[in-house]
This record gives sequence, structure tokens and C-alpha cells, in this order.
Amino acid sequence: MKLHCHRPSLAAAFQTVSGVVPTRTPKEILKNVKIQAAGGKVTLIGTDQEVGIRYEVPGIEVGVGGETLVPTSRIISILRELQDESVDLEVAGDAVWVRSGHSEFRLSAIDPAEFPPVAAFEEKAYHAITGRALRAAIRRTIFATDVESTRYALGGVLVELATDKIACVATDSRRLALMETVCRTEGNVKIENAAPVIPSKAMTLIERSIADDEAEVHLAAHTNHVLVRSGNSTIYSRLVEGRFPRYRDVIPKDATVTVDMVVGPFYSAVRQAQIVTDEESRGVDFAFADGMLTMKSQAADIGASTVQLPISYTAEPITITFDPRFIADFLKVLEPEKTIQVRLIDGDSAAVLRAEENYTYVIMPLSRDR
Amino acid sequence: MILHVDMDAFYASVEERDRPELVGKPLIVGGTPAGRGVVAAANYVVRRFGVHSAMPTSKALRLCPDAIVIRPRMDHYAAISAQIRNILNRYTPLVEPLSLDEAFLDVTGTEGLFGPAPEVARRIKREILSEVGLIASVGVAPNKFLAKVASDLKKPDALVVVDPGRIPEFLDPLPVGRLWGVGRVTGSLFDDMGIRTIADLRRRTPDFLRQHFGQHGDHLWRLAHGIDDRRVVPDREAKSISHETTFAADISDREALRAWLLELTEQVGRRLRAHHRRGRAVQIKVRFADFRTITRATTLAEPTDATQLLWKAAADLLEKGLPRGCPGLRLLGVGVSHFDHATKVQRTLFDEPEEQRNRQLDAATDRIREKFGAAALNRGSGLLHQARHRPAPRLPPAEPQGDEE
Repeated sequence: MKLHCHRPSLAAAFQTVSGVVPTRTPKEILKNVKIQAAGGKVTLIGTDQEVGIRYEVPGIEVGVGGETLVPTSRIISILRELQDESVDLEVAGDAVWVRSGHSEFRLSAIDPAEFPPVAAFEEKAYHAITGRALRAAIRRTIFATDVESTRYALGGVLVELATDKIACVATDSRRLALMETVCRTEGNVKIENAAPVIPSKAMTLIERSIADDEAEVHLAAHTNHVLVRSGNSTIYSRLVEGRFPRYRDVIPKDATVTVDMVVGPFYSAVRQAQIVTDEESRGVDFAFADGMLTMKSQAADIGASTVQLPISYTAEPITITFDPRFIADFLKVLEPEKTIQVRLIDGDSAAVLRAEENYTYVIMPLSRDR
Repeated sequence: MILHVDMDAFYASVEERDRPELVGKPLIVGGTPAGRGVVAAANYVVRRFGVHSAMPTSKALRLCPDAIVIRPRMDHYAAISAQIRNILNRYTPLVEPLSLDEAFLDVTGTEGLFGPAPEVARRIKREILSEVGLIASVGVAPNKFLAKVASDLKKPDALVVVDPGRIPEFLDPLPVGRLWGVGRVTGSLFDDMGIRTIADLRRRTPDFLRQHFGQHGDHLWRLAHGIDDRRVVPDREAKSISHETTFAADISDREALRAWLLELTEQVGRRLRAHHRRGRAVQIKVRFADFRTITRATTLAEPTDATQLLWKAAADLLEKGLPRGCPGLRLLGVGVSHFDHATKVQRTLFDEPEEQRNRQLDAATDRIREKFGAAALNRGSGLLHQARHRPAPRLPPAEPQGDEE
């Protein structure tokens, strides 16, 4: 194998693929990235056997095709430290040579035959979503996942697939984020799995792979895995096993009171209210009354705080206790000038926060009765 | 000075007190042989036949066929235990109950008020007898370990005082088996080394003991020198609640270990609920046959007192903490700490019904066990392996190979 590469593109490609390469694994071979050069195309492949990625690197002249494995962290360091715009890779015997300018590196070549395969995207039927919509859906849900959950499959984002829309849902059973967005289908989609739960790690990778807002991302869901094509990447992921809870049942339909709030000032006030809390008294009281939201917190041995924010609210006073981190998580992924709706039933019931028409966030309060 | 107050054959003595016709007859309080029950308490008459607590009732009846078996009345014993606790509380706020029938008292700060510790011990014995009608043995010593050894030394109706200036004289003649953590297996190891009394042990260097028993060796060395600096911790101040057990024979079967762990976790859950505590951290403690001791801990998303959730965490720790093919275990323990003092609890979206079921199950289990004793009700896996909260006495080493727990 002999390749002449544009160094910054190659470095970026390795950086992307390294997102799946495990740093600690009993299978040493997985710490490598596979380089495959055939038919004028060069593909980098990395996998931890749960999630895998194939990344097609642009701007490479293939002198001689072939394949090899390179140690991920070492090659990334080399590509980062080199100064020249171009770099040459050559496999000769049991060595991989990396040459650029006045520098030369020889790395031991490892037999690529043992490297587990990562499926390519050869689907005829799939869902297509614009990069912009999918990125928003991932960013607005992924923070609510719970990889620790043993009872439910909460370690990923549930992606409900219909023919013209998808819903992304994530929850840690204390709060839940739901983002709905439009999509289209290509080919004759016989939905094999209409509700895959895609692991957080794969979702992060998919989000990072979206380079162009307008370009479509293609997604094909199967019983036990999903394949996603996005930009230069094809991402394979096994699905989170287990049952996702019946989330629609826990989203309250009605509300006693509705308050409009602007994201920026609300986020700023919540961040203040978060300061004087500790592990034991995480709750902050949110009191809505007479045109004012008052957030009070108190923590033994630390102190107390009162933070107020004028709001347009004149109905019956209502107080509810939240873990402020849950509110902050939601506000953080929204633009500061946006207006959201806070919908409450009472101090002991789930609260709903809504942004636009398609983003719904449910938070359970802290309450006195057990 | 520390007092260790230990009721003599507590459950059995309560039954004798309430039914004087039983006095002088061999009496066992415990489960029936048909229900694979165990002896919870044995009076002194039946002990002469070799019957002791934690022994299967069927075996006890083979040793003493005339023994009268009475079902435990735990709620009754608990009420009497509370009466005794009231007496103890008169002499110091530092009372650490170990179970229904034993407690440590630190009377160091109250000697000025109530007189010297031996005098307090005498008064406590007198008051328990006159107000409750039961006999206690009391050990008086500079620390917990010595006080416990002392109370046990001349049972029943004993009062043993350890002079702080004469600790070696007190310990030296005692057999090494009196030391905490010396079961029969360690005992036979000691035998091989020619160590029979605490004096023999005290002559060995800490290095020697560490070589043979690991960290546990340090512990043995300190005890042999009468050193023990653990405080008396009243339950309400406790920062953690834990239970551990030393097995009769080393156990390597995972299912058996899980069953024991469940039993221990249930004990811990019960005490958490009794004290209205919810903990956030779960810890297990494992001592291997070679005395190497490890602890593993995990933090829960929410503080809890539910046996089911504690058990999940503990079982997970056990699964991860035990390498495949590791040596057998001689000790297993589980503890819960990082109590939550917040008055409000994070509500959850989905698991209310299950949580509620857990809570109802725990409450029902607590009531039944309080009424009929710990052996009255078991979860499936616990019953399977006859895991009991009372550690069985250590037996001679298991037969080599092919011996299943």
C-alpha cells in the first residue's frame, strides 16, 4: 500500500474515527484503525464492536492499494505534530512508513485480517433527515439519557420512525426530552424496527459527522443494529437492548397554569440558584406568583440563596421544587432569545417545558411525600 | 470506660420469665424442624446437650429429643429490648445497640454523675432484674473489644471488670478463639503454628501475622495487645449501617454467595427503614480464604431504603468484584452509607408502581419478621441456600474438592 495524503484532512479523519476506538479494551487489536485503499478510495475503519465507523477520506492519491492497521493514538500524534501539508504512507513488509518533509516514522504493521468488519451502507430503503433537523434532535435529547439504568433501555436515544416524521426521546426517569421532526423515506421502507434505541455514543458520533446542515443523513434501522450514512461517514451501531418505557403516558396533557419565559434570563437565574445547593439538598423551590418567579435554595453548612426574575404571571401562586440541573440542561440547548412555555399542574406533578411546537421536556419535581 | 451489656439467653429467658413452668426444662426458641428452621436461642439447660443458636432445629432435637421448641415472638422481644434500652439510656447518651440483646455503653463522661463504671454496671444489672425480670451479663473495660470478651467470660449473670493496668494479665490465658475474627479455620491454623492462647499470639511479630493473614494479621495483633479504638456510636449518629457474616466454611459457589448477600442486604434494609434512613452509597466487603480483604462501593442515583434496589447494587458489586476462579470467601458484608437528610425526594416518571410494590413488600416483610422472626419469611434464593442472618459457627475446613456449598 502506498498513499499520498493531504495531512490536515487525514488528521481530521483519524480524529473522527478515534471517537469509537476504545482506550481500554481486552482486545488489543481494537485500539487500531484500519486503513483500506481500493479502487482509488481510502477508508478508515474503527470499532469497539458495539459502535463502528467507516470514514471515507478525501484528497488521497492511491499509488498502490491495500490495507493495514495503525495504532490510533500514535498516528494521531504524528499527524498532529508534522508540519508539512502532505504526508506519505507506505506499507512495506512488516512496517508502516509515515514520511513527511524531513521526518520519517516506522510503525509495526499488524495483520488486518483479525480486525472485526464494519458493515458498509448498502441499503436500498432508508429514512432521510436533513442534517440540521437531526443535529437539533440529538442535541436536545442526548443529555437526558441514563447509561446506568438497568431496568429500562435508557442508555440511548429512542428514535421512533414513521414515514414522514421521526421522534427522538431520551429519559433518565426523572426528566424526559422529546423532539419531533420531519423526514422522508427512500425506497420501499419495510420498517423492521420502528423504535430502535441508539446508544448515546453512536448518537454523539452521528451528530459530529454532520458537516452540512442541508445535506441529508440516511438511517436504516434493523432488529439489532442501525446503519447511518452522513457526509463522509458510515456509522454502524448495535442497539441498546431492553425495553424503553411507555413514555407517552407520562407526558401530561393538561396544565393548570402556563407561564411564558425567555430562555436567556431564565437560564442565567437558574444558574445562580444552582450555586448554593449540595448533593443532599439539591432542590430549589420555584415560586410563581404576582409577576415574579422566586427561586429559593438552602443547603446545610453552605448557606442559602434567593434569586428573583420578573415574569408575566398573575394567576394563583404555585410553588414547585426542582433539581435545578434538570432545568438548566434544557435551557442550555436553546437559543437565548427563544421563548419557552412552562406548564404546571401543581407542586407534586410533572411539569412540562415546551420550546417551539416540536420540543417537549418533562421534569418530575422533588416532593415531601414518599 | 466501656460497658458491654449482654442479656443471658435472651429469647429463652423471656419465655421462661413469662411461663415459669418452662424453667429447668430444655428450651429452644426457633423455627420448627419441618420448616427447616434454626435455633434462635437456647436456654442453659439445653445448651448442656450441645445445642447452640444458628443450629438447625432438627439437629438440636437429635441432640436433645426432649427439648421444647417455641416459636420466637419477635415483637414481644423487641418491646422488652426497648425497656432495657431505657434503663441503659439513664446512664449515658452513648448507647450503641448491636442487636435486641446486646449493647455497648460509653460511660467515660458520666462517671462523675453516676459513680465508677463497675458501680454503674452493677446498678444496670440490678435495675434490669428488678424492672424487667431478666438477667444480664456485663463486661467493663477500657474498650469495646475487651468489654465484649469480658461480658462473655463468665456467663450467665456475670460482671467482669478489666483493670486498664492489667490488660495483658487478663488476655494472656484466654484461648485465641476469643479474638474477633478467629473462627475454627483460623483456629486450626493457629494450632499448627503452636498458638493456643492469646499470650502465644502476642509473642509473634506483626510481620509474622501479616505474612500469614494479610491485613487481618494487623487486626489480630492489635486485638492480642488489647488495642481497639473504635468509638461507641449511638445508632442515630451512625454514618453507615452494615451487616457481615463469617461463613462456617469458605464459600465459592456464586449462587450461595448471592443468597447470603441477599440475606445480609435484607438485614441492612430493615435497619435503614427502622431508623428512617435512606442511603446513597452501597458497599460490599469480601474476605477471601487467604485473608485478603477487599471492599467495593457504588453510588445510587437516588438515596433509598428499598431492599430490592440495595440488593441490585450489592449483587452487581459482587458480580464485578469477584474475579472468575477467585479463592473461596470466608466473609461477606454489605453496608449502606451517605444518608440523605433532605426532606424532599426526587420523584420519578415511570417506576412509581414498582417502587410502591417494593415499599409494600419491604413493609410486609418487616412486619412478618418482627412478629415471627427472621426465619419466618425468605425470598426464593435466600431460602434455597438457607442463608441466615446469624452466622453459622465456623466448622472444620471443608472436604477437599467436589464439596458443594
